[in-house]
Amino acid sequence: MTTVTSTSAVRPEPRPKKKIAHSGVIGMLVFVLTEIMFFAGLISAVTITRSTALMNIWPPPGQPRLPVEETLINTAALLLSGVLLGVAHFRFKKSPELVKAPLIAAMLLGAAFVGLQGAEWVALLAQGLTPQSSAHGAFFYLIVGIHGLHALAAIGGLAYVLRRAQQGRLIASELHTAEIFWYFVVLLWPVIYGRLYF
Amino acid sequence: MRWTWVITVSLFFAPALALGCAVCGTGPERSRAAYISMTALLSLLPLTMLGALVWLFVRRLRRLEPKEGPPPREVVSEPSGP
Amino acid sequence: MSTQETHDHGHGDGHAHEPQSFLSKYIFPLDHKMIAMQYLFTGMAMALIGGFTVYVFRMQLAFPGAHVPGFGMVSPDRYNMLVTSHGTIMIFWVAMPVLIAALGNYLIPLMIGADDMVFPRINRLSYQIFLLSALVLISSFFVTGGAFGGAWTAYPPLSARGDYNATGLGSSLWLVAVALEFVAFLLGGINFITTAMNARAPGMKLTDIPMVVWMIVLASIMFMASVGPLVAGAIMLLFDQQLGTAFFDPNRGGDPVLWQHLFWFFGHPEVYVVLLPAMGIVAEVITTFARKKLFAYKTVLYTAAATGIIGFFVWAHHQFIAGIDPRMASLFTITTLIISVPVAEMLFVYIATLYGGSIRLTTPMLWALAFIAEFLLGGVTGIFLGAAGSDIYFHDTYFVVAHFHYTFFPIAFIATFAAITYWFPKMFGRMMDERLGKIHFWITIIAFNFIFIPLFLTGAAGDHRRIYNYQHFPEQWTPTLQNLRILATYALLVMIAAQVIFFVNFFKSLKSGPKAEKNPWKANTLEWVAPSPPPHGNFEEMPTVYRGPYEYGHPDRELDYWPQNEPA
Repeated sequence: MTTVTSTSAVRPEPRPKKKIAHSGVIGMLVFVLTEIMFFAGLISAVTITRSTALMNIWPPPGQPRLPVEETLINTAALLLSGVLLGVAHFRFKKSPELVKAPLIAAMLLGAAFVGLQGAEWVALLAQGLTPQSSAHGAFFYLIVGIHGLHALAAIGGLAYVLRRAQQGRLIASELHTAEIFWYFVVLLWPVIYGRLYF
Repeated sequence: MRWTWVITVSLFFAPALALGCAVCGTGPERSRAAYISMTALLSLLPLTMLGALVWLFVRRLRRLEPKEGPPPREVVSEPSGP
Repeated sequence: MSTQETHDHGHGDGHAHEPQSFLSKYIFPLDHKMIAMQYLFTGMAMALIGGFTVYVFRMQLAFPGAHVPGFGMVSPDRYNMLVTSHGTIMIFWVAMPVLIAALGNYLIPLMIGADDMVFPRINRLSYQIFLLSALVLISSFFVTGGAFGGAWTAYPPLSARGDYNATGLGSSLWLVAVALEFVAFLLGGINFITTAMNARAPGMKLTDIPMVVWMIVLASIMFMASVGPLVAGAIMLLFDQQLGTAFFDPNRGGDPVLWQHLFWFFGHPEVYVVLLPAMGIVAEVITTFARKKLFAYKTVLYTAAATGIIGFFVWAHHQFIAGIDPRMASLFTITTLIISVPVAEMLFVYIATLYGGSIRLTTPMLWALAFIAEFLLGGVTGIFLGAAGSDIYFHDTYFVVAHFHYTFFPIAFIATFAAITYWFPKMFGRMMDERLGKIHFWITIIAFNFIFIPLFLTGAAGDHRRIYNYQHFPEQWTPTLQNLRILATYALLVMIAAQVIFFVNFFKSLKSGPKAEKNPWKANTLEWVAPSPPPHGNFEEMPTVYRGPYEYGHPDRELDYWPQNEPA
């Protein structure tokens, strides 16, 4: 017993420490985890509300159907921007200079997504779908609106990365941190689209 | 022994019949199923994600290790036990 | 950006030893210790408000209709307001900031041998948002209609409409305050997790991390994973209140039980979020004052992780009579009874640690021992409420209130007092008065039991917790029950009075206590290597870790302790 304890308390000089991942990346991963739970809460709320709909009719009578087909264009734009950011990721390994073009394209596509969503809102409001008109409208504006805000924030993050790249000071961890958030926004959208529009 | 299992499982479905609560009403089956499935989603999702993160970090840690030679294998500290 | 340029010990811009101006040192600090002090003092100030509200409504329950000194008459709507404020403030603005934010900020960098948090600026932002949330909550007391009066669980439809709860603006401010507060802890939690992962001193393995750091990190992870749905629910409820949506209005296609679903998904893990840090504090205190290694370090760690995992599967036990599916009720009964196993195991481990130790009954040790005893009572009474069959009877009675307080008072106050008395020499560089500390301890603990044991009895006799005047309920207005209520109120007055002793002791020691040396308790963990109080940057020389945190009474050494940073 004594010998075991005495050896266990003695250890060689520690070696320099290794990091699993950069702090920014870990912090962002934890933040994204929280965000996923936030949206999981919203999506579970929609699902439950839909299940209690009268006679199982959804959308409720008198409410417009959401433009499933037109939104496919938005969806495609957003997914494509995610792919472009992936391209930027691999080009960064070759040279930090090469990220600029795919980064700008990804940002533009992201902005196009937000713009098209806005146009869709205006059209739907004109058709009588408002937050007050039904639970359907309320959930639509709430979830799509919050996702849009996240998209804007993520575009802001990409803009920061772009500025750093233009200054020639972009480091891998910054790019990866911004990337994680953008992938989160991109991959979340198909889930929302599937749950809300159909 | 085998019967214990069967009884346990069948008791699991009994509470709907045995519930003696006068003030508790439940919704239609459709809504109940939605509550159960969303409960499962909310409870399992965070654990799945955390599990994935832990797995990822452990794997990265393993990859980092061998680069610098085998880790010192003398007694790994065991702070447990008296 | 400071957050991007972290080096080995995670110092951002907070790594400065030059003198600073008053403003940058005390008002907008980046130093984790100063941010911890901000959290601690804000939490203490909020505890005074929370304590005042309970004084007023307990007086009303003991002496219905009487004039309460310092407040006046208590009308039914005022009563609702006071009860709601008491619950909200004590949980969200006292337990959370003190246990998680203040102690996490103070202890994590010191105990893992870092000079600051990994993201000092996010840390500062976290406190600023928290302060804003506290100000929003306090401002809600002064708007038309007063503060929110729909109970701290804010069940709709009562909470969703101003004409139902009579506090239209107050309820919205309440929701905004709660949501802001969660954002603050979210930022803090990201910091804690990342710091513990990346900024540990060289040589510190995962099993060398002191238990309290593990517990705060695990609690932060639980918090981060559970808070999302509640924030979603809070936004929906805010929309219902202010925009006229119908998420929770059954007349217009909403579902009021949905709120409970989202609220308790956070609400129950929250219990374990505050429990785990308290357990960690107790582990530190009892090992130091029993001069013994923590019995089964890894077991404590695994039981804490198990508590965290099972903690996600128990929350629907709050809804047994809310109309949930009975199949779900039986499932959640089983999980609720299961979660008592890891928690009980932790307590057994602590008792095993005490066994055979050379125990010193200092003030922090007394608090830690009281935590074990009182929390055990709280846990055992929880079994009745976790089982759907008995919960249908006990639901919303004072039995629930007493059970809840037997768990939360040990967590939020007993463990906090243990922490403050234990780390006070490190925080302020002076020793606290042991004699005053013990007087404060004994009065508080005895009074605490005299408050809540009567409430178990009235609850079992059927007292409903949301009634403001029992004279309207002849079955409950019997001399026996009323005497129990009066006893509880008198005990509360004694307990509140005893806190004066604590504040006297705290501020007197702060000003004129005897100077503390670096390591007054002869403990092993790294914070005792730093000077008392630690300067900006924490350590004179960054420590290296050679062993676990609980090497007490080692047979090869003359001294009975062996600091983590001492080479063999």
